[in-house]
Amino acid sequence: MKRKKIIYRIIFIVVLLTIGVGLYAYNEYNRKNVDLADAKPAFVMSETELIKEFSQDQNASNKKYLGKIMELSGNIKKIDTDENGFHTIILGSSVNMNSVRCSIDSSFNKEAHDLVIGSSITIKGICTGFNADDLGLGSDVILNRSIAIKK
Amino acid sequence: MKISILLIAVLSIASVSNAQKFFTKTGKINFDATAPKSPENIDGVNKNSICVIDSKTGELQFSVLMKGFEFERALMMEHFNENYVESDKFNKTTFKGNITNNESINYSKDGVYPAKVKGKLDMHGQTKDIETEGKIIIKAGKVQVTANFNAQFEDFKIAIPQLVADKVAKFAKINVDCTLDPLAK
Repeated sequence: MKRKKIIYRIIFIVVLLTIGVGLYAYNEYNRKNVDLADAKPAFVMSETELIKEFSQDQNASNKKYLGKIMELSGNIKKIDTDENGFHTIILGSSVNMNSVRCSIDSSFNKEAHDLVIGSSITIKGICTGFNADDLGLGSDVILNRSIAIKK
Repeated sequence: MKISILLIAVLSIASVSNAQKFFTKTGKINFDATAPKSPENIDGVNKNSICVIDSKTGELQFSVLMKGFEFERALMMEHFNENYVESDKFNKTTFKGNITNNESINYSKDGVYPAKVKGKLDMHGQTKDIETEGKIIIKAGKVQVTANFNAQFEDFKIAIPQLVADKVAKFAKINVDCTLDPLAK
């Protein structure tokens, strides 16, 4: 009698564990990219500060910023729209070749349409990398999946 | 008088269409590494690739940030960055090459031109010669470049674990679609 009880208990625990592991694996597998609207930024700074750091030491900045959620403030220099209607907001000043290019998340694409060039903005996005000015086009820091946030 | 106006008009049009270099910073490059029997798609897209073409010499350059690839599943993106392309170590993939039949492309006349491209692809610390055919489409002063080619993972020392070999193919089909604007001097 006692033995049977122990066996039942073991079976029960094994079943529970299997379900737990299964659920974890399922969730992990289906995990979506973090929703940036709610995510806390790892760094809050101005667009000029970030470009300055990247221009001074690319390797150190790559280590520090790549893959991190950034909250950047700056002026809208230009808005690029590609043939599929995706927007890229370019932060920077018109006198400077260097800029931060924020590729806009599809969830925010509609709102991006109404932004005004020259106005100031705060953008949250994931730091994707730095393109040094090796092709003569100015150097850029790239933010991916960006959204504008209201302050 | 009339002739001089005409001349000015012709010259100004000519100077617009005679831009030598074309570039984009929003080029699209996507890859598909789905194995034939895989139940799910293994693919990602990069929407901020840099591409530069010199229309005089036919030189062609691409620069792609590996962390800029977007995936549907967060887990896939992490595996891609951490295990396969090791984007912390090798954060950029570049291609430098030439359009070998550049003389047959008229950059100032709208049309679809077949293009042969030959060059070196530098990815994951390895450099490999790539030869492919694509299209150059000239329309309203813009240059659209499209091409497909395969990159074998073995050539770039990207190891695919046995565990996922039924899902991830041995090569990636790479699809390039960039629209380039003339570079204002």
